[in-house]
Amino acid sequence: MSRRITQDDLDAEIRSHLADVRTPEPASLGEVLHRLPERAAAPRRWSLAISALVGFAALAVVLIAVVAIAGLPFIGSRLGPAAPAASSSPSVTAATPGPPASAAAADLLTFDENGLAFAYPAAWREFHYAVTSSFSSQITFLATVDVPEPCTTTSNASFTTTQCANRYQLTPGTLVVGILGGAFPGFDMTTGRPAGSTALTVGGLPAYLETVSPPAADLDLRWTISRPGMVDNFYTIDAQMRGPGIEAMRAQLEALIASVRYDPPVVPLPTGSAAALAAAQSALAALVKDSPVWGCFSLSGPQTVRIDSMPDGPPLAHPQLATCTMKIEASPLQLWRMSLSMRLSTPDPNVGTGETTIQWINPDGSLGARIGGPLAP
Amino acid sequence: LVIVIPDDGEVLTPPAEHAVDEDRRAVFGRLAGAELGASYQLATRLLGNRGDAEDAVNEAILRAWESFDRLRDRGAFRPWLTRIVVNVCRNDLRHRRVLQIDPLGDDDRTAADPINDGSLRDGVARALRRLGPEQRVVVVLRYWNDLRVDDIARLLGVPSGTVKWRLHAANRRIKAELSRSGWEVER
Repeated sequence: MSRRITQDDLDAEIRSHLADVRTPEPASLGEVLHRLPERAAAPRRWSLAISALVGFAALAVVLIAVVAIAGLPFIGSRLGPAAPAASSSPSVTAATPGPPASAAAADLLTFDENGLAFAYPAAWREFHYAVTSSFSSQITFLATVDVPEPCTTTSNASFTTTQCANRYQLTPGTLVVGILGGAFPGFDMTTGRPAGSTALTVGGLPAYLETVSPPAADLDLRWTISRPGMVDNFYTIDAQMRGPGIEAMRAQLEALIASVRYDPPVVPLPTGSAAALAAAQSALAALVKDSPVWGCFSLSGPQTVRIDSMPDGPPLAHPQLATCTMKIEASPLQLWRMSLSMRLSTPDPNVGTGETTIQWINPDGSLGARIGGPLAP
Repeated sequence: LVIVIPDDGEVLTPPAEHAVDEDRRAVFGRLAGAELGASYQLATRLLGNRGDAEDAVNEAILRAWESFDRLRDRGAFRPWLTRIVVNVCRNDLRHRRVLQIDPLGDDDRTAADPINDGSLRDGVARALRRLGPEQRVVVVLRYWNDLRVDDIARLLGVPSGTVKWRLHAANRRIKAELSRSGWEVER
């Protein structure tokens, strides 16, 4: 026999349960504040002005900005025990050897890591720092100068401080190229390209190039390139150069970018409406399992059905008719982009006139990212 | 000029004179330091275990520091940081298949509580564990942070109706789970 409780009892039980989670704060929690990067990353448009104020030290700003974009890969997310030896000076110990680099040509080496591969001049040296972090992104430097360990650790009786920043110095005629992986929820290479950047195709996928005003270099070129199969993930290749010889270095970088390929290679979406329909069919079947309201959408064309809620919520104030139309297209990202629009017959106080959802579909028909928003006019 | 930070949707303006303020670190440290405890408590309830919560708070603090120059109103630091913490935790939850929950401490309530012999409590715990990320977030914000629906909506950047629906769906799921434990919730 069931026992009965009221909604108020249930609410109280939920509150009580959440209150009962024992969470003594770890002693290390506040220490994160002692190992912040040296400066908050300023937006790039101001980096030139900042450089005038802080001189060469502002190089760190650029690195930290890139690190932030890449999901803060330098920053260990857990504080370990105090380091046995204190050192406040930048470490100049040799970087651990990078991933195997094979000779692709007499004067070129091959970089192949984290799904990204390209050729680069053999004269460039690779600096590969392993940084432990639960949200780390691999970082590698290719450079014609020494690139010291970006993070230094100091400790005293109370706490350990780790600071990460760009510690290399560009001398005349040198360059440093940083390779990072990043992700932002909602990022879409095809629609999120910054103003002033140049659209490109790299390795068969969309990319863009920005020219950054560098604080201590003559030229800073930053390529943001797609990461296959993941709309909101990307790679960043950031190159800082100091003249003379900028044009030659730029040519080398452009050759590097032209050689980019993905490992494994990107499989182009099949062409033709049959492939698109098959992808849409597969995706709709999966969506309906999530919420039967997705059944409003049909491959045969617009449908009008009575619904009492939107597929991902919220409920409507009153059940009413909704007209559902869908469109699927092959994206340059080599993913299917399905647009699902649900228009209500009369505006609803919870929903307005309806919603448009963008559902990304993987080449195998499985569901990728889904982003919903108000109905497009 | 308005900048939209894509990971939390916060609308921010460019920095004013404080852009190169050498006291920034101290100001940030004071503001963030005051919120560390609350952020950790929230993250623990969202993520279910202390290790992930510590990671999430660390990440949130670093993200906040990275964007600190662009925080228009430093008086809004608390909701701003809370939003970042919630977003970090949501992202974490979305990428997990299994929610790892730390065991609770000893429960000394059940003997003295006539309504609850432990099965209700267990049922609620199980139900909360099985909520999807979005439902879990609104339940924690509603029942732990005691936020109103409109405030949750503002914090998450979604319509109030969406928050209501998620709470409704979460409640329905919790009731279904409780009914398996022999509890019925009266209307």
